[in-house]
Amino acid sequence: MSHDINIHHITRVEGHGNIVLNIKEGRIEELRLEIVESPRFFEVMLLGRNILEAPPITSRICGICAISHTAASIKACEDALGITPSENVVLLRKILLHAELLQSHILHIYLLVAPDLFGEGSVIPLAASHPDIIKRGLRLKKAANDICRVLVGRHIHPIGMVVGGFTKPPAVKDLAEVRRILEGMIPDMEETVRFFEEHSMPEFNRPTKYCSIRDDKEYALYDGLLYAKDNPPLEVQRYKEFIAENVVSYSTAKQVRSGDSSIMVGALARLNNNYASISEEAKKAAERLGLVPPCTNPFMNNIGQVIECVHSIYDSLKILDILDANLSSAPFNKDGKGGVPPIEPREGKGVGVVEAPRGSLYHEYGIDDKGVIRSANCIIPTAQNLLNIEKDIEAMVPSILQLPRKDIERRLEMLVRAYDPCISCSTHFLEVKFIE
Amino acid sequence: MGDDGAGIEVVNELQELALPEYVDVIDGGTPGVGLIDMMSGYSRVIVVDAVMGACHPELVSGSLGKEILKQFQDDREGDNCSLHETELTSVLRLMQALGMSIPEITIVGIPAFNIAPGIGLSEECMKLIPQAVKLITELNREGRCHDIFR
Repeated sequence: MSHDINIHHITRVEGHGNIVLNIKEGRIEELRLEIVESPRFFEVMLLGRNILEAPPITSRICGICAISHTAASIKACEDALGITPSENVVLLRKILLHAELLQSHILHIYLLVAPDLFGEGSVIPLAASHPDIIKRGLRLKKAANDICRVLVGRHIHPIGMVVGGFTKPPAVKDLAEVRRILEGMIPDMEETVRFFEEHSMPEFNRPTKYCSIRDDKEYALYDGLLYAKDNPPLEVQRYKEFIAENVVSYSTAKQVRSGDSSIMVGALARLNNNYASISEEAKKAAERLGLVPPCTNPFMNNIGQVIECVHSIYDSLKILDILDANLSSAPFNKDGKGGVPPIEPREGKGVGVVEAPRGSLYHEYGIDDKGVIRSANCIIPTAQNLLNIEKDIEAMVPSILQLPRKDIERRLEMLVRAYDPCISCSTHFLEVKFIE
Repeated sequence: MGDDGAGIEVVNELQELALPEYVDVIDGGTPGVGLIDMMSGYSRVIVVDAVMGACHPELVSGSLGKEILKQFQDDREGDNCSLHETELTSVLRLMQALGMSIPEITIVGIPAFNIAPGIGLSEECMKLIPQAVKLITELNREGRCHDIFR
């Protein structure tokens, strides 16, 4: 059997990419996951700018995970400048990462994945046939956005998060508002778990190297050591020993390896690495949804996102308890006036890594003694998954070749979609081309 | 990005004016499907933004009538687009599909002459900002629009 498959523009993913697949007599002769968006050149834009400008500039890399970019950037700045933020600042950053994870995962599972579960081509016909489902997703997304708005001024491109702390520390009433929003999300989140309990994901398993940060004390999103099974845990500053980027001619995004292996990052990787640390409520959801790590089915990344949403709600409530207690006994920012401590430039290098919704996000800057950026490197989660997606397609295609061509295309798109790729960010992605 | 900031300039000017209390001036940013929450509950919305491809260096304005919304129903182009690219028409289609009430929408477009990297508007674009503010306040005074949105 021969196919020349060209999926030109993979649909319902963030950005533009193509799958080129040439099969002759049942053997794959050519397979490429082409990333066709223009390069973004953010690293070059940073050169010559003051390091304190890096967070608001790099926030613009993404309209969905802007808080993660801001947080990774701030951490890199603080590492370079020798700044240690207060416990309260770190706690508030963790709530913001949870809120962003919620809005990003909810958007993906309701607006991009749910149409597949009903055999619909897009969210529009699903919205017409099942408006209650989509309205529930939009309610959850709005709630997560509202948390960000209350805490840092707006949900996209936050203006309150800065190097050293927050421009305006939250008032007691702000934290009470965030608690009210989180508690209000619980019934819709319970319905979300029930909804995904009624739908199964395609069966396909291929073990790979699951990479994330890891912290013995908690389900790591903000801080931790670089971790993959059978690898010694590494400080984030040694990330180049953990992963390596390389350029491929057919893609404007780099590919990433760890050792000789392709890697997977994101919800499934985090759950495989850190399941023991997740909240009890999320564990119960995981059991109901049939995702008990280790799980090697990339389609289950969608389910992993549902589980992480449950965790993010309950963990945020726990963090709020700590913040409430702290605020009554200690000032928010280190200077005690609600402001950010003065910052002295110094020559150095800094690395910041956080778990963005789609996986580990790395920022590294080198600065001179005036605090001017002389080198910059950002490694985006989607870029880390691209090679692994190619390997998954390669492994999955022989088992679906008997299907009608349209079904092969659909299954390939679903596979790519399960990774929730953000091509616009990685361009540094999707269209499938068949050759017959 | 130069003249891409034209809408924000108009919003800044409008926020300095004494507007009726039933008018909200909002810097919408790039909210994607978040536009639904921003527009819900309003009877009328004026969208102000920079536009590319205008034939003349003049303001472009017009209403998004119900007939245009009907055309959206048959236009599947863009349904599968990335959520990064969700624009006003995609959001209106989603609101329609969900059976939500859609406000009357007026577009005020300000031609962009220069969108290269840089801070501030071009001289040509800057000249159009007072005209846009005047047009919007007149639309509002005539009772033709009750809400303002960028």
